[in-house]
Amino acid sequence: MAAAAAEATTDGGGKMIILISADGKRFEVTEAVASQSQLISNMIEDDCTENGVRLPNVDGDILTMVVDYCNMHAGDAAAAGDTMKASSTEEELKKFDAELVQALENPVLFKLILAANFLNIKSLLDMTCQRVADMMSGKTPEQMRETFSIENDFTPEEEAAIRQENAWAFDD
Amino acid sequence: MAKNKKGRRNKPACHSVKDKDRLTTLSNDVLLNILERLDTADDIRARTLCKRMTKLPAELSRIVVDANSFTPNKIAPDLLTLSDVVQMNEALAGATEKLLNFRSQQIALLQPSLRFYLRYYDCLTIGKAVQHAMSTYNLETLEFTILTEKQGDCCEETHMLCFGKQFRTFLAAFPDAFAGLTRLQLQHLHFAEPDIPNLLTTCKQLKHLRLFSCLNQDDPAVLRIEHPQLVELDINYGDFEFVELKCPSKLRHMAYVHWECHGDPLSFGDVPLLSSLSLTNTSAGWQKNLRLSQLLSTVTSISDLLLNFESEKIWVRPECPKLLGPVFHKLQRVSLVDVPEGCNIDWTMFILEAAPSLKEICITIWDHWCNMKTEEDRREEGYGDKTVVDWESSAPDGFRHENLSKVTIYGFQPDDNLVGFVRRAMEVAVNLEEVSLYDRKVCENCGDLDPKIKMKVSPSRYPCTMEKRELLKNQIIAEGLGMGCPDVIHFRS
Repeated sequence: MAAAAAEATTDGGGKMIILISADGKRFEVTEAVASQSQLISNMIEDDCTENGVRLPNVDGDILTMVVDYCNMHAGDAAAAGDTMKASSTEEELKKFDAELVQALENPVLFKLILAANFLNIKSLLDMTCQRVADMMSGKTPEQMRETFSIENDFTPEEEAAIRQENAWAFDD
Repeated sequence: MAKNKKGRRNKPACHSVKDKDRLTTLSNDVLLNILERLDTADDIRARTLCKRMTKLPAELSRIVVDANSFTPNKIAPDLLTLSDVVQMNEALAGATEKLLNFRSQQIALLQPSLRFYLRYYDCLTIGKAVQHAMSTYNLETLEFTILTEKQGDCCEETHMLCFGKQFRTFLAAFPDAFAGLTRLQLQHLHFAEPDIPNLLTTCKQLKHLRLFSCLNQDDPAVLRIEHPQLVELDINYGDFEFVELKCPSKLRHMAYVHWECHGDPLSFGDVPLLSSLSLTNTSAGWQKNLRLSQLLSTVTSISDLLLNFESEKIWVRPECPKLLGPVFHKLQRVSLVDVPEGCNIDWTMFILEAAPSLKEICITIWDHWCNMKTEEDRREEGYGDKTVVDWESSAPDGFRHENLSKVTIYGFQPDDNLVGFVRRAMEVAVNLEEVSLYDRKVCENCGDLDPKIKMKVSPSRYPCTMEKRELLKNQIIAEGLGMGCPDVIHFRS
């Protein structure tokens, strides 16, 4: 299936483009798959993808995940080729997404957020932001700081003032 | 406590170097994207983590206040004591008052959503704050989920009478607040005439209404719903003998779970937009099987239909296309949920025969043991045989279905019943693209079942190896007539 797509050049999203990560890894993907990134979609429209798209902010291991994600979700996009559509059902996508975000360690999760934000892939950004929100939800401020290694840089007086202002949120 | 948590959450030894703060270094856009997903209490807590977070633009346009955010020491909701609830609800009422009253009027207030317990003084505070907000802002949506401090089996009729009375007082005290409500969820209330008409006339803007386990004191207990704006209605449990929808002309979604009457449980008036209907019932032997052609005689635009049998008797009566055609002519998706195991499913073909536009059918076959009647219950309460459904094909010589593209079966077993069904569906549906076959569903709670019951659950024979799957695919194809390609069949578990 992949070979057939690589040979195709113009019809239905079969045209291939090359993405190059910060550490020089190259990924060959169809335009349809890559267009889920609004950034790349704009570049395709402006015809500036001929020599590959350099992504100096995204490491190879993160780009691997992004490309996997886009390949899985290509069926969603209206412009996607039919071959992808048949290969992944809604159920499988949900499972794939859930496994993807659940398995992420903190540093990777945040790198993925940065990549999704830079590449402007809304669904991936939403999904990863939701994961962070889920990790924050129901925690006390101290627990949140611990989870995300946030340094409490207030003086005790400043902190007391802040708590005072929204006392109702701190009754735990 | 913090120390314990630390031990649990942080990854083992290799992470001994403290990870750096990757959250608060994100851009404002991304941080706000994350905070927007939290409820208002967590949002405010997160904004106090460090200096950087306090500098985020504090819009707080969206106010979502949930009693659960005020749980002392983060107790699981089912372990809350009455004094916890009292404390939480007081905190919630105070917070609501502050959030709604003391805010800059320049900042828009969007979609306030409040989930609180029905306690008299807290309701006064909340009602006042909401009424104030209504007069200050132009609210497009407003949502109340009103909880009761007794729930489930502990909630007896006397409690429900008392909650019903409290709700009546709340409604009467703040008609302007209720007039702006767009979504309302109520539970465990006892209604008497004219509570429901009062509620519906007061809540002029109501679009979504959910009644969970609410009873009606009148005899006969008829629930009449007459509302020109209502889009979605969800009636879950309750003891109504009959539900009458009187011209809810904007109604699009309707779900009805559990009825205890002999005949039709509800009637639809003129519902030109009703497109999605979900009906769930554990039908006892004495309850009549429903004729969808009669039940839905005034419903002409159903596209999504879900029927849940809760592992008991099939309570719909298969009918012929002539009768069902007008009801099913726009039907695109059908889900048949928790069809009892061992029940021959040939009868489901009546849907294919009568619904030419059908695109997807999903059938879940499941004896869900932690949810279903035991043999003793069944005998005592007069439940009948659930394996046989009378059905006669209207097209004994076969027919073509042009639109069906997707067939999904959960709880697939390689027996004559299901293999035969897949084969027939593949013969009939000439444009079938996908047949997905899954193993039985797994429920976390079923693991805790009484061992005596567990013994009765026969092991699944779902084909797990590639070899068995290929064999079965070929068996389905080989014995069929004019079948498509075996590649449309997918084993997905």
